[in-house]
Amino acid sequence: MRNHYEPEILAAFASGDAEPSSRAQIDGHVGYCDDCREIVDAVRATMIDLADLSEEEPTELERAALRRALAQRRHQPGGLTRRMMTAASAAALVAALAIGGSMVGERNSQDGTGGGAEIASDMLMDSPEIVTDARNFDRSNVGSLLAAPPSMRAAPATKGGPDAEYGVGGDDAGAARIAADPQRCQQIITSTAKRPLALRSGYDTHFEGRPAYIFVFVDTAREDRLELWVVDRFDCENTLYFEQSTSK
Amino acid sequence: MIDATDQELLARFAAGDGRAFDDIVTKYERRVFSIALRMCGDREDARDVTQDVFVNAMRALKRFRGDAQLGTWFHRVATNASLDHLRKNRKRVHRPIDEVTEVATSEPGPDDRALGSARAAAVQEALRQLSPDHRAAMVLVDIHGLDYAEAAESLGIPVGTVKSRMHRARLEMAKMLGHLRETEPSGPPTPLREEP
Repeated sequence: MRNHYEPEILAAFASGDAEPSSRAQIDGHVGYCDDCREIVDAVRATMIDLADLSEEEPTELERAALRRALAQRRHQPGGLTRRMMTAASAAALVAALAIGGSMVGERNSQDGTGGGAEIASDMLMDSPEIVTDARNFDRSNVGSLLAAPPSMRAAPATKGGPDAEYGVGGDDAGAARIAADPQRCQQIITSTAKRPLALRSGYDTHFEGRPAYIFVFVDTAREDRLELWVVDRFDCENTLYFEQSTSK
Repeated sequence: MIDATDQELLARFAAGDGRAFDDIVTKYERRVFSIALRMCGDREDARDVTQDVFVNAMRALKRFRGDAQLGTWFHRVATNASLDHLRKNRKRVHRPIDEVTEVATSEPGPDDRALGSARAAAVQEALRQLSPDHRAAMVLVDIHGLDYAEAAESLGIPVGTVKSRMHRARLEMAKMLGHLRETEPSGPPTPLREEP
Protein backbone atom coordinates (compact mmCIF):
# COMPACT_ATOMS: atom_id res chain seq x y z
CA MET A 1 0.00 0.00 0.00
CA ARG A 2 1.36 3.44 -0.93
CA ASN A 3 0.51 6.89 0.43
CA HIS A 4 -0.39 9.73 -1.90
CA TYR A 5 -0.52 13.49 -1.64
CA GLU A 6 -3.89 15.19 -1.88
CA PRO A 7 -4.57 16.37 -5.44
CA GLU A 8 -4.78 20.01 -4.38
CA ILE A 9 -1.33 19.82 -2.82
CA LEU A 10 0.00 18.30 -6.02
CA ALA A 11 -1.75 21.03 -8.03
CA ALA A 12 -0.08 23.64 -5.81
CA PHE A 13 3.28 21.90 -6.33
CA ALA A 14 2.78 21.80 -10.12
CA SER A 15 1.84 25.49 -10.02
CA GLY A 16 5.00 26.41 -8.10
CA ASP A 17 2.99 27.30 -5.02
CA ALA A 18 3.95 24.51 -2.62
CA GLU A 19 5.40 25.52 0.72
CA PRO A 20 9.20 25.79 0.34
CA SER A 21 9.71 23.36 3.23
CA SER A 22 7.66 20.69 1.42
CA ARG A 23 8.89 21.05 -2.14
CA ALA A 24 11.81 18.64 -1.92
CA GLN A 25 9.68 16.05 -0.18
CA ILE A 26 6.88 16.24 -2.78
CA ASP A 27 9.43 16.29 -5.58
CA GLY A 28 11.00 13.12 -4.22
CA HIS A 29 7.60 11.47 -3.90
CA VAL A 30 6.44 12.17 -7.45
CA GLY A 31 9.78 10.79 -8.62
CA TYR A 32 8.64 7.28 -7.81
CA CYS A 33 4.82 7.54 -7.43
CA ASP A 34 3.17 7.21 -10.84
CA ASP A 35 -0.27 8.24 -9.57
CA CYS A 36 0.92 11.48 -8.02
CA ARG A 37 3.20 12.25 -10.97
CA GLU A 38 0.22 11.84 -13.29
CA ILE A 39 -1.60 14.61 -11.43
CA VAL A 40 1.41 16.93 -11.49
CA ASP A 41 1.93 16.32 -15.22
CA ALA A 42 -1.76 16.81 -15.92
CA VAL A 43 -1.86 20.15 -14.12
CA ARG A 44 1.25 21.32 -15.98
CA ALA A 45 -0.21 20.24 -19.33
CA THR A 46 -3.38 22.16 -18.46
CA MET A 47 -1.40 25.29 -17.69
CA ILE A 48 0.28 25.02 -21.08
CA ASP A 49 -3.12 24.63 -22.75
CA LEU A 50 -4.37 27.75 -21.01
CA ALA A 51 -1.28 29.77 -21.84
CA ASP A 52 -1.83 28.86 -25.48
CA LEU A 53 -5.31 30.37 -25.25
CA SER A 54 -3.96 33.81 -25.93
CA GLU A 55 -5.57 37.16 -25.41
CA GLU A 56 -8.27 37.68 -28.02
CA GLU A 57 -8.55 40.90 -29.93
CA PRO A 58 -11.77 42.43 -31.13
CA THR A 59 -11.98 42.64 -34.91
CA GLU A 60 -11.91 46.00 -36.64
CA LEU A 61 -15.65 45.65 -37.15
CA GLU A 62 -16.18 45.04 -33.47
CA ARG A 63 -13.98 48.01 -32.57
CA ALA A 64 -15.95 50.22 -34.93
CA ALA A 65 -19.26 48.97 -33.49
CA LEU A 66 -18.06 49.73 -29.96
CA ARG A 67 -17.07 53.26 -30.92
CA ARG A 68 -20.39 53.87 -32.61
CA ALA A 69 -22.27 52.62 -29.58
CA LEU A 70 -20.20 54.79 -27.25
CA ALA A 71 -20.60 57.81 -29.49
CA GLN A 72 -24.35 57.26 -29.43
CA ARG A 73 -24.34 57.17 -25.67
CA ARG A 74 -22.19 60.23 -25.45
CA HIS A 75 -24.50 62.24 -27.66
CA GLN A 76 -27.70 60.80 -26.25
CA PRO A 77 -27.49 60.75 -22.47
CA GLY A 78 -31.29 60.40 -22.38
CA GLY A 79 -31.09 57.03 -24.06
CA LEU A 80 -33.88 56.30 -26.50
CA THR A 81 -34.97 59.75 -27.63
CA ARG A 82 -33.90 60.33 -31.19
CA ARG A 83 -32.92 63.70 -32.56
CA MET A 84 -33.86 64.69 -36.03
CA MET A 85 -30.94 65.40 -38.31
CA THR A 86 -29.65 68.90 -37.83
CA ALA A 87 -29.23 71.26 -40.72
CA ALA A 88 -25.47 71.25 -40.19
CA SER A 89 -25.09 67.49 -40.37
CA ALA A 90 -27.49 67.34 -43.32
CA ALA A 91 -25.37 69.86 -45.15
CA ALA A 92 -22.23 67.88 -44.37
CA LEU A 93 -23.90 64.76 -45.67
CA VAL A 94 -24.91 66.48 -48.89
CA ALA A 95 -21.35 67.68 -49.33
CA ALA A 96 -19.97 64.21 -48.73
CA LEU A 97 -22.39 62.58 -51.13
CA ALA A 98 -21.97 65.16 -53.80
CA ILE A 99 -18.36 64.21 -54.49
CA GLY A 100 -18.09 62.05 -57.57
CA GLY A 101 -20.99 59.69 -57.66
CA SER A 102 -21.43 56.64 -59.81
CA MET A 103 -24.12 54.16 -59.09
CA VAL A 104 -22.58 50.72 -58.99
CA GLY A 105 -25.66 48.67 -58.54
CA GLU A 106 -27.41 46.20 -56.38
CA ARG A 107 -25.09 43.66 -54.72
CA ASN A 108 -22.29 44.56 -57.06
CA SER A 109 -18.84 45.41 -55.80
CA GLN A 110 -17.14 47.32 -58.57
CA ASP A 111 -15.33 49.65 -56.27
CA GLY A 112 -13.68 52.79 -57.47
CA THR A 113 -10.18 53.54 -56.37
CA GLY A 114 -8.60 56.67 -55.05
CA GLY A 115 -10.00 60.14 -54.70
CA GLY A 116 -12.46 59.21 -52.00
CA ALA A 117 -14.88 61.55 -50.35
CA GLU A 118 -13.53 63.39 -47.36
CA ILE A 119 -15.64 62.32 -44.41
CA ALA A 120 -14.89 64.09 -41.15
CA SER A 121 -14.05 61.56 -38.45
CA ASP A 122 -16.38 63.16 -35.94
CA MET A 123 -19.22 62.66 -38.41
CA LEU A 124 -18.46 58.96 -38.56
CA MET A 125 -18.68 58.77 -34.82
CA ASP A 126 -21.91 60.72 -34.62
CA SER A 127 -25.11 59.06 -33.54
CA PRO A 128 -27.39 57.52 -36.13
CA GLU A 129 -30.41 59.56 -36.99
CA ILE A 130 -33.70 58.08 -38.03
CA VAL A 131 -35.59 60.61 -40.07
CA THR A 132 -39.13 60.16 -41.24
CA ASP A 133 -39.74 60.67 -44.90
CA ALA A 134 -43.21 60.47 -46.38
CA ARG A 135 -42.03 59.58 -49.87
CA ASN A 136 -42.17 56.17 -51.42
CA PHE A 137 -38.80 55.19 -52.85
CA ASP A 138 -38.05 52.55 -55.44
CA ARG A 139 -35.01 51.21 -57.24
CA SER A 140 -35.06 53.92 -59.84
CA ASN A 141 -34.41 56.63 -57.30
CA VAL A 142 -31.90 54.86 -55.07
CA GLY A 143 -29.16 56.73 -56.91
CA SER A 144 -30.76 60.07 -56.26
CA LEU A 145 -31.31 59.14 -52.63
CA LEU A 146 -27.61 58.40 -52.30
CA ALA A 147 -26.50 61.46 -54.22
CA ALA A 148 -28.96 63.98 -52.86
CA PRO A 149 -30.74 63.12 -49.66
CA PRO A 150 -34.36 64.04 -49.33
CA SER A 151 -35.76 66.73 -47.15
CA MET A 152 -34.85 66.30 -43.53
CA ARG A 153 -38.17 67.60 -42.29
CA ALA A 154 -39.91 65.20 -39.98
CA ALA A 155 -43.29 63.76 -40.86
CA PRO A 156 -46.15 64.24 -38.39
CA ALA A 157 -45.56 62.47 -35.11
CA THR A 158 -46.78 58.94 -34.82
CA LYS A 159 -50.02 58.16 -33.02
CA GLY A 160 -48.36 55.66 -30.71
CA GLY A 161 -47.13 52.11 -30.74
CA PRO A 162 -43.60 50.81 -30.69
CA ASP A 163 -42.33 53.41 -33.10
CA ALA A 164 -43.26 56.16 -30.74
CA GLU A 165 -40.24 55.87 -28.50
CA TYR A 166 -38.00 56.41 -31.46
CA GLY A 167 -39.89 59.50 -32.51
CA VAL A 168 -40.51 58.19 -35.99
CA GLY A 169 -43.78 58.24 -37.88
CA GLY A 170 -45.37 55.85 -40.28
CA ASP A 171 -48.82 54.61 -41.02
CA ASP A 172 -48.08 51.17 -39.59
CA ALA A 173 -47.57 52.40 -36.07
CA GLY A 174 -50.94 51.10 -34.98
CA ALA A 175 -50.73 47.79 -36.83
CA ALA A 176 -50.68 44.49 -35.00
CA ARG A 177 -47.14 43.72 -36.08
CA ILE A 178 -44.35 45.29 -34.14
CA ALA A 179 -41.87 47.32 -36.07
CA ALA A 180 -38.28 46.25 -35.63
CA ASP A 181 -36.04 48.48 -33.62
CA PRO A 182 -34.12 50.52 -36.20
CA GLN A 183 -31.04 50.38 -34.05
CA ARG A 184 -31.20 46.59 -34.01
CA CYS A 185 -31.56 46.56 -37.80
CA GLN A 186 -28.41 48.66 -38.06
CA GLN A 187 -26.57 46.30 -35.76
CA ILE A 188 -27.61 43.28 -37.84
CA ILE A 189 -26.38 44.99 -40.98
CA THR A 190 -23.07 46.08 -39.53
CA SER A 191 -22.37 42.73 -37.93
CA THR A 192 -23.20 40.74 -41.07
CA ALA A 193 -21.67 43.05 -43.65
CA LYS A 194 -18.12 42.08 -42.61
CA ARG A 195 -17.02 45.60 -43.41
CA PRO A 196 -16.46 48.53 -41.05
CA LEU A 197 -19.59 50.53 -41.79
CA ALA A 198 -20.43 53.85 -40.22
CA LEU A 199 -23.98 55.07 -40.44
CA ARG A 200 -24.40 58.37 -42.25
CA SER A 201 -28.17 58.67 -42.16
CA GLY A 202 -31.29 56.66 -41.62
CA TYR A 203 -34.82 57.07 -42.88
CA ASP A 204 -38.12 55.70 -41.73
CA THR A 205 -39.95 55.56 -45.02
CA HIS A 206 -41.42 53.29 -47.71
CA PHE A 207 -39.64 51.41 -50.43
CA GLU A 208 -41.63 50.03 -53.36
CA GLY A 209 -44.79 50.38 -51.35
CA ARG A 210 -43.55 48.59 -48.24
CA PRO A 211 -42.66 50.18 -44.92
CA ALA A 212 -38.90 50.22 -44.68
CA TYR A 213 -35.91 51.74 -43.07
CA ILE A 214 -33.27 53.03 -45.44
CA PHE A 215 -29.75 53.36 -44.09
CA VAL A 216 -26.83 55.02 -45.82
CA PHE A 217 -23.44 53.82 -44.61
CA VAL A 218 -19.88 54.75 -45.38
CA ASP A 219 -17.36 51.95 -45.59
CA THR A 220 -14.78 53.37 -43.18
CA ALA A 221 -12.03 51.29 -44.72
CA ARG A 222 -12.92 52.65 -48.14
CA GLU A 223 -14.38 56.07 -47.68
CA ASP A 224 -14.97 56.34 -51.39
CA ARG A 225 -17.81 53.87 -51.07
CA LEU A 226 -21.31 54.52 -49.87
CA GLU A 227 -23.78 51.75 -49.22
CA LEU A 228 -27.51 51.96 -49.07
CA TRP A 229 -29.46 49.27 -47.29
CA VAL A 230 -33.22 48.96 -47.47
CA VAL A 231 -34.61 46.99 -44.55
CA ASP A 232 -38.13 45.68 -44.14
CA ARG A 233 -39.41 47.60 -41.15
CA PHE A 234 -40.99 44.43 -39.78
CA ASP A 235 -38.17 42.03 -40.54
CA CYS A 236 -34.58 43.18 -40.09
CA GLU A 237 -33.25 40.13 -41.89
CA ASN A 238 -35.00 41.09 -45.09
CA THR A 239 -32.68 43.57 -46.73
CA LEU A 240 -31.89 44.96 -50.11
CA TYR A 241 -28.44 46.37 -50.69
CA PHE A 242 -27.01 48.92 -53.08
CA GLU A 243 -23.68 50.59 -53.22
CA GLN A 244 -22.12 53.57 -54.86
CA SER A 245 -18.57 54.59 -55.45
CA THR A 246 -17.92 58.25 -54.86
CA SER A 247 -14.54 58.20 -56.56
CA LYS A 248 -14.20 59.97 -59.86
CA MET B 1 0.27 54.26 -7.40
CA ILE B 2 -1.49 54.84 -10.65
CA ASP B 3 0.38 54.57 -13.93
CA ALA B 4 1.56 57.99 -15.16
CA THR B 5 -0.04 57.58 -18.58
CA ASP B 6 -3.33 56.61 -17.00
CA GLN B 7 -3.10 59.55 -14.65
CA GLU B 8 -2.68 61.87 -17.60
CA LEU B 9 -5.58 60.25 -19.45
CA LEU B 10 -7.84 60.59 -16.43
CA ALA B 11 -6.82 64.20 -15.90
CA ARG B 12 -7.65 65.00 -19.52
CA PHE B 13 -10.93 63.12 -19.19
CA ALA B 14 -11.83 65.03 -16.02
CA ALA B 15 -10.99 68.29 -17.79
CA GLY B 16 -13.52 67.47 -20.48
CA ASP B 17 -11.12 66.46 -23.26
CA GLY B 18 -13.38 64.40 -25.53
CA ARG B 19 -10.45 62.47 -27.01
CA ALA B 20 -9.26 61.25 -23.61
CA PHE B 21 -12.03 58.72 -23.30
CA ASP B 22 -11.34 57.46 -26.82
CA ASP B 23 -7.72 56.96 -25.79
CA ILE B 24 -8.81 55.05 -22.68
CA VAL B 25 -11.02 52.84 -24.85
CA THR B 26 -8.17 52.25 -27.30
CA LYS B 27 -5.82 51.31 -24.47
CA TYR B 28 -8.12 48.92 -22.63
CA GLU B 29 -10.68 47.57 -25.13
CA ARG B 30 -8.54 44.59 -26.11
CA ARG B 31 -8.07 43.47 -22.51
CA VAL B 32 -11.72 44.04 -21.58
CA PHE B 33 -12.96 42.24 -24.69
CA SER B 34 -10.61 39.32 -24.13
CA ILE B 35 -11.64 38.86 -20.49
CA ALA B 36 -15.30 39.05 -21.50
CA LEU B 37 -14.78 36.55 -24.31
CA ARG B 38 -12.97 34.05 -22.10
CA MET B 39 -15.52 34.48 -19.35
CA CYS B 40 -18.61 34.24 -21.58
CA GLY B 41 -17.21 32.02 -24.35
CA ASP B 42 -19.13 33.86 -27.01
CA ARG B 43 -18.16 36.84 -29.15
CA GLU B 44 -21.60 38.39 -29.18
CA ASP B 45 -21.76 38.26 -25.39
CA ALA B 46 -18.23 39.65 -25.22
CA ARG B 47 -19.24 42.57 -27.42
CA ASP B 48 -22.21 43.30 -25.17
CA VAL B 49 -20.10 43.10 -22.03
CA THR B 50 -17.37 45.29 -23.53
CA GLN B 51 -19.93 47.90 -24.46
CA ASP B 52 -21.46 47.79 -20.97
CA VAL B 53 -18.05 48.17 -19.37
CA PHE B 54 -17.15 51.28 -21.33
CA VAL B 55 -20.60 52.83 -21.08
CA ASN B 56 -20.34 52.47 -17.30
CA ALA B 57 -16.76 53.72 -17.41
CA MET B 58 -17.96 56.98 -18.98
CA ARG B 59 -19.74 57.76 -15.75
CA ALA B 60 -17.61 55.93 -13.23
CA LEU B 61 -14.25 57.31 -14.33
CA LYS B 62 -15.39 60.80 -13.43
CA ARG B 63 -15.29 59.61 -9.84
CA PHE B 64 -12.14 57.48 -10.18
CA ARG B 65 -9.91 58.40 -7.26
CA GLY B 66 -6.70 56.85 -8.50
CA ASP B 67 -6.17 54.65 -5.47
CA ALA B 68 -5.99 51.64 -7.79
CA GLN B 69 -4.41 51.08 -11.16
CA LEU B 70 -6.78 51.82 -14.01
CA GLY B 71 -5.89 48.44 -15.52
CA THR B 72 -6.84 46.69 -12.29
CA TRP B 73 -10.09 48.64 -12.24
CA PHE B 74 -10.90 47.51 -15.79
CA HIS B 75 -10.04 43.89 -14.90
CA ARG B 76 -12.47 44.04 -12.01
CA VAL B 77 -15.25 45.77 -13.93
CA ALA B 78 -14.85 43.45 -16.94
CA THR B 79 -14.94 40.37 -14.73
CA ASN B 80 -17.97 41.56 -12.77
CA ALA B 81 -19.80 42.62 -15.91
CA SER B 82 -19.13 39.18 -17.41
CA LEU B 83 -20.39 37.44 -14.27
CA ASP B 84 -23.55 39.59 -14.36
CA HIS B 85 -24.03 38.76 -18.00
CA LEU B 86 -23.64 35.05 -17.30
CA ARG B 87 -26.17 35.21 -14.47
CA LYS B 88 -28.71 36.85 -16.75
CA ASN B 89 -28.17 34.27 -19.49
CA ARG B 90 -28.12 31.07 -17.48
CA LYS B 91 -30.57 29.26 -19.73
CA ARG B 92 -28.23 29.19 -22.68
CA VAL B 93 -27.33 25.67 -23.80
CA HIS B 94 -23.67 24.95 -24.40
CA ARG B 95 -22.03 22.37 -26.58
CA PRO B 96 -21.08 19.25 -24.64
CA ILE B 97 -17.39 19.08 -23.79
CA ASP B 98 -17.08 15.53 -25.19
CA GLU B 99 -17.97 16.80 -28.61
CA VAL B 100 -15.13 19.29 -28.67
CA THR B 101 -12.49 17.21 -26.90
CA GLU B 102 -13.07 14.41 -29.38
CA VAL B 103 -11.88 16.68 -32.18
CA ALA B 104 -9.14 18.23 -30.09
CA THR B 105 -7.49 15.04 -28.93
CA SER B 106 -7.40 13.31 -32.30
CA GLU B 107 -4.02 12.53 -33.86
CA PRO B 108 -2.20 15.47 -35.47
CA GLY B 109 -2.95 15.63 -39.15
CA PRO B 110 -1.75 17.81 -41.98
CA ASP B 111 -3.72 20.80 -40.85
CA ASP B 112 -2.08 21.71 -37.56
CA ARG B 113 -3.72 25.10 -37.55
CA ALA B 114 -7.19 23.57 -37.56
CA LEU B 115 -6.17 21.19 -34.80
CA GLY B 116 -4.78 24.05 -32.77
CA SER B 117 -8.02 25.85 -33.23
CA ALA B 118 -9.97 22.75 -32.18
CA ARG B 119 -7.80 22.43 -29.11
CA ALA B 120 -8.43 26.07 -28.24
CA ALA B 121 -12.16 25.45 -28.64
CA ALA B 122 -11.95 22.49 -26.28
CA VAL B 123 -10.07 24.55 -23.70
CA GLN B 124 -12.58 27.37 -24.04
CA GLU B 125 -15.46 24.94 -23.61
CA ALA B 126 -13.87 23.37 -20.53
CA LEU B 127 -13.30 26.85 -19.14
CA ARG B 128 -16.98 27.61 -19.59
CA GLN B 129 -17.89 24.59 -17.50
CA LEU B 130 -15.95 25.80 -14.49
CA SER B 131 -17.80 27.66 -11.76
CA PRO B 132 -17.79 31.40 -12.47
CA ASP B 133 -15.51 32.08 -9.49
CA HIS B 134 -12.92 29.56 -10.60
CA ARG B 135 -13.21 30.73 -14.18
CA ALA B 136 -12.67 34.37 -13.25
CA ALA B 137 -9.46 33.53 -11.39
CA MET B 138 -8.23 31.33 -14.22
CA VAL B 139 -9.00 33.89 -16.93
CA LEU B 140 -7.01 36.56 -15.11
CA VAL B 141 -4.06 34.42 -14.03
CA ASP B 142 -3.58 31.67 -16.59
CA ILE B 143 -4.79 33.46 -19.70
CA HIS B 144 -4.08 37.13 -19.06
CA GLY B 145 -0.94 36.63 -17.01
CA LEU B 146 -1.82 38.53 -13.86
CA ASP B 147 0.07 37.45 -10.76
CA TYR B 148 -1.88 36.24 -7.75
CA ALA B 149 -1.73 39.62 -6.01
CA GLU B 150 -3.05 41.47 -9.06
CA ALA B 151 -5.82 38.92 -9.54
CA ALA B 152 -6.72 39.15 -5.86
CA GLU B 153 -7.00 42.93 -6.10
CA SER B 154 -9.03 42.70 -9.30
CA LEU B 155 -11.41 40.15 -7.82
CA GLY B 156 -11.54 41.73 -4.38
CA ILE B 157 -10.54 38.52 -2.58
CA PRO B 158 -7.46 37.44 -0.56
CA VAL B 159 -4.40 36.11 -2.36
CA GLY B 160 -4.78 32.76 -0.59
CA THR B 161 -8.29 32.39 -1.99
CA VAL B 162 -7.03 33.08 -5.50
CA LYS B 163 -4.38 30.40 -5.07
CA SER B 164 -6.75 27.74 -3.81
CA ARG B 165 -9.27 28.55 -6.55
CA MET B 166 -6.52 28.27 -9.12
CA HIS B 167 -5.34 24.90 -7.83
CA ARG B 168 -8.86 23.47 -7.82
CA ALA B 169 -9.65 24.99 -11.19
CA ARG B 170 -6.50 23.52 -12.78
CA LEU B 171 -7.40 20.08 -11.46
CA GLU B 172 -10.93 20.36 -12.81
CA MET B 173 -9.65 21.54 -16.17
CA ALA B 174 -7.10 18.72 -16.29
CA LYS B 175 -9.93 16.22 -15.93
CA MET B 176 -12.15 17.92 -18.48
CA LEU B 177 -9.34 18.13 -21.01
CA GLY B 178 -8.50 14.48 -20.62
CA HIS B 179 -5.08 15.03 -19.03
CA LEU B 180 -6.28 13.32 -15.87
CA ARG B 181 -8.49 10.35 -15.15
CA GLU B 182 -11.74 11.13 -13.41
CA THR B 183 -10.94 8.69 -10.59
CA GLU B 184 -8.56 9.60 -7.79
CA PRO B 185 -5.37 7.53 -7.54
CA SER B 186 -5.75 4.34 -5.55
CA GLY B 187 -4.27 4.59 -2.09
CA PRO B 188 -4.91 4.57 1.60
CA PRO B 189 -7.69 6.65 3.19
CA THR B 190 -5.17 8.93 4.90
CA PRO B 191 -3.25 10.77 2.21
CA LEU B 192 0.02 12.54 2.79
CA ARG B 193 -0.31 16.15 3.80
CA GLU B 194 1.96 19.02 2.99
CA GLU B 195 4.16 20.10 5.83
CA PRO B 196 3.23 23.57 7.05
